[in-house]
Amino acid sequence: MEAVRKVLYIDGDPEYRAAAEAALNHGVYDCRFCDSAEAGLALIDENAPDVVIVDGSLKDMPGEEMYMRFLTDLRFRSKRDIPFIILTQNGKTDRSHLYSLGFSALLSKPFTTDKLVEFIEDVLVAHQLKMGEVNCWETIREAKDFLERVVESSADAIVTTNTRGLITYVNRAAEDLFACPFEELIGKRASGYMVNGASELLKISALIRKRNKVQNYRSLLLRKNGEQLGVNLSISIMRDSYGKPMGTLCICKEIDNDNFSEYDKNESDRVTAVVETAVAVNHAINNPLVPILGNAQFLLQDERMTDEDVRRRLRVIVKNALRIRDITQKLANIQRPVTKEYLKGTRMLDIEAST
Amino acid sequence: MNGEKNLLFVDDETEILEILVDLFSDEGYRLHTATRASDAMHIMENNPIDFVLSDLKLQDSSGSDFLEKVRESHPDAVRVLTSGYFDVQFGQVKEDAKSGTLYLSKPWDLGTLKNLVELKLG
Repeated sequence: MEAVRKVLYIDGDPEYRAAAEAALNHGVYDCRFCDSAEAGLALIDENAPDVVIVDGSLKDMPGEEMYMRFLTDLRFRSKRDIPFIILTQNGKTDRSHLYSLGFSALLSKPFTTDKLVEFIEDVLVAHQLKMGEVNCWETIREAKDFLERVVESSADAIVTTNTRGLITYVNRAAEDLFACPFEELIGKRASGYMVNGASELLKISALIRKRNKVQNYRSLLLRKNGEQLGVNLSISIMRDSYGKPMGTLCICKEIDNDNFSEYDKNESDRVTAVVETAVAVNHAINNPLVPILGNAQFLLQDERMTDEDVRRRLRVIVKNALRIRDITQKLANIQRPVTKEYLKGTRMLDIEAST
Repeated sequence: MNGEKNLLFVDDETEILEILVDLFSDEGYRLHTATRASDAMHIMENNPIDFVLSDLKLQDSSGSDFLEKVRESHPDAVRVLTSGYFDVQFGQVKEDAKSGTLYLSKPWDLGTLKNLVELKLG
């Protein structure tokens, strides 16, 4: 069932009022009629119509002035969205002025009652769509404000970087954590604020590539004043609406210095040392593997190489070269070194358990 | 026929360059090699290079800096950065969507490299 729309029609001309009443006074509309601006304002206050039709030339004031009063009177603060249609005399209208004041539509006199009903319906539909859009933007704005307040109120530092590792945003807690103002942090390399610098960032990048996120990663940050600070980092990839990586989101939680024991510092140093070793091993081993693997592959492709025993031995070279490559790649992904006993009294890194 | 296409390989290890030259010598390309970024840049300026493969670690520059200069001066050239430290599986190539640079892990599979050149220059 269609909702009843409340219409207020204000016109000093009794003939127009009677015509409007005949056209509108049926089930679809709940209509009120009056002949002056003051009476109209009182009815708006009392009845809150869905639409107001006001004649431009009322006996107590012009329709334009009545609308201005409506907009500025605090009584109507919650009703300012009500659409107004102004009735004008043909050829005596500054349309752009009236629209700029906020009128939803202009209807020239004389008009037929059919035209009046059509106008009211058009204005109500347009108004409903406009309010939907306004509500949508209002919801977006509120959500944005809310998220900004959440981020700014967070006790933990929040830092975002772009895909090049440059800082793009910090919240207030991050400014406190780094002892550095927002303006100085933006655009700087995130690795510049880590005690172990680029090599640690390289390790974190490898972990993120592998797992999409890093949680509870302990590290040492470098504050502007040179102090070192133990932190717990949770880092994830930020993606745009198409799923393309646009950078990282990092939440840093300061660890109480008493709790960030020497053991943790040593552990962090140990991880960094292993990662640095892994980088060196990757470079030192994978480069010589290129000619080993490449030459073996060449010989296997050579048509003259028909001796099956030689071919079997070449395949063994290729297989084991690839095994070495797999091991060096795993070394680069070590998160926390775990050791196991190799011989009695000698321990070795457990590569599988460490990644 | 690939006679018009020029390939440039940059690596400070000559045995690696030899493998690359052997791989492409019968394919009809014009091959160029360099062990330093400065020599490679000189070759770029004097030859219509279509494809550049560079190691990440060079004697006088990083391979990524070198390829960034190539991107600015020869935007149409295919650029491949190779290193033992990339997290790219054997037999695979990754592309950086932003710069268009391709990443290949060492040691590479000869077939993957050959297919890559044919795909990009074919």
